[in-house]
Amino acid sequence: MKIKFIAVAPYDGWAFIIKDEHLYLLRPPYQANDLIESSEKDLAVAISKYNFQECHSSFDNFEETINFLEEKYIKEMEKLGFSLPDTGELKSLIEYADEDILQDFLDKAEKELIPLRSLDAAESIALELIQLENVKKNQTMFKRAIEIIKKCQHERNELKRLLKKPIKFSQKYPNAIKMYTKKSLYESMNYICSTRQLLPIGM
Amino acid sequence: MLVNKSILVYHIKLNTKMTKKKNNLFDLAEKNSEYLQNQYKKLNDSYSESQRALLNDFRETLREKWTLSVNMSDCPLVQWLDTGQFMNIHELKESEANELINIGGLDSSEKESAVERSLKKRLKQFYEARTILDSAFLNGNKFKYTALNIGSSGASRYGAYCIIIEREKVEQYNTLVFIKEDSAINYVENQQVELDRLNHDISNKSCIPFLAAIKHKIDLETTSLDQWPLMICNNNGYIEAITSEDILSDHIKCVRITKNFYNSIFNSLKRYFIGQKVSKERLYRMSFFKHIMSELKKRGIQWEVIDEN
Repeated sequence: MKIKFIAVAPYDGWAFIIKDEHLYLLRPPYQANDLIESSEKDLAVAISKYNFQECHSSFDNFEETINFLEEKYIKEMEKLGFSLPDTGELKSLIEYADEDILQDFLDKAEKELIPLRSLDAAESIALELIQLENVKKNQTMFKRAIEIIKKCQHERNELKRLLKKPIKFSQKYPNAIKMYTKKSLYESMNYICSTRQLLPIGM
Repeated sequence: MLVNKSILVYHIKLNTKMTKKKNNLFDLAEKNSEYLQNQYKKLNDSYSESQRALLNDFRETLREKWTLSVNMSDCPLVQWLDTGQFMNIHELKESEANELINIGGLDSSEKESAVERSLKKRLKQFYEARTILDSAFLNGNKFKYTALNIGSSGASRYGAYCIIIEREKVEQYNTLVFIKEDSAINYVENQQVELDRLNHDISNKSCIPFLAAIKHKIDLETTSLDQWPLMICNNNGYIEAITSEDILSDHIKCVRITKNFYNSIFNSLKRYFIGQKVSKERLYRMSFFKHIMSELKKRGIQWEVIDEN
């Protein structure tokens, strides 16, 4: 599968490419939806009016194609004098997020990160959001962010409590206790401890 | 004798240049007003009562909401904000040549040829169509090509940012025409401008609802009201708007950003927030996006996110 470049907008990382004899526009973030079938007319308009320039390179696959575009974009940014931003600067981009994006961030924290016990990440999102004017003005969203912080603290406390508390045999192995007597289980455990082997070899 | 012959050739060339009258694009639009009004009337007369009501709604919507838009990517937008002026390709290349002259990289006597060389290099096979069109009309090198917009994110295929020009400012432009399709692609054939077709496909400010109604008479009935903005200006077609006025950065009313592009930036930020790996390219992209947003904020320019779907 050869991918041939026809035109590229270097400051943008957008490109017109030919793949399997069809003309496409490829644009970032280079996902499946970002490959759009195009016409000769689109290409003509892109070059004569917009920032596209003819480019004649070809690559064996999409990975190489995307790497080329990404590197080209990085070089152009460096030429313009942009350096890689620091963490604080990048995180402050959240200031320009609209309500849908903010809700999506809160969803991520609440529905994915907390259940996965990624409490630091969830808390970091909520802490950043409660500082935003848009969130402060929106009481529902503000309360939701506070709830996430509280939930993270609660989860942490719960984990600490569990670690301190001795765990009963029946809590640790609820199914095993239903099938075997405690005595037989202790015997098995002792056997495993002494042989360092869960199942007999050669069965 | 040889000198005299050269002088004669020079005079012939000069006279040819002087006698080759250039058309005034803006006069063409004025002259076409009556034709457009008649065509609209014919259309209206041929319609049923309900169709007429729809046509009237469309005309009123156009009258109320029309303005100009330009789609572009990050860098041209930043350049526009920095220089304060939207430059067409001639002006851009001229400004680059001036910069070269200033740093001693180009002799001012070579400026014109350098600009032409640069244009040829940049436009390649499309150089002819662009220059044929621009040189066929008075002040053609000053033409800025934009599009009619009544609320969409424009031809986002050519740039994720759709710059919307303030209607009040546009109304003050003395030179402004609308053409049914993209001019360089649709009205240049056999190395000349197809004036016969163009003469009837061009409109001034006041006739824009008529031109739009004539262009979209077939789609109008099958397109719901909320889809009219997308019907007027989208990736596959638009009504081109041309002005020779300076479009300044303080003429910008707002910047529409496609939801797809906007979401992709914040998806990267979300990954960054939770400590997942983010590529260098995405870091630069987020940083440049932030730069644009802060420039818009500094200038009091509104921005909105538009879902293309």
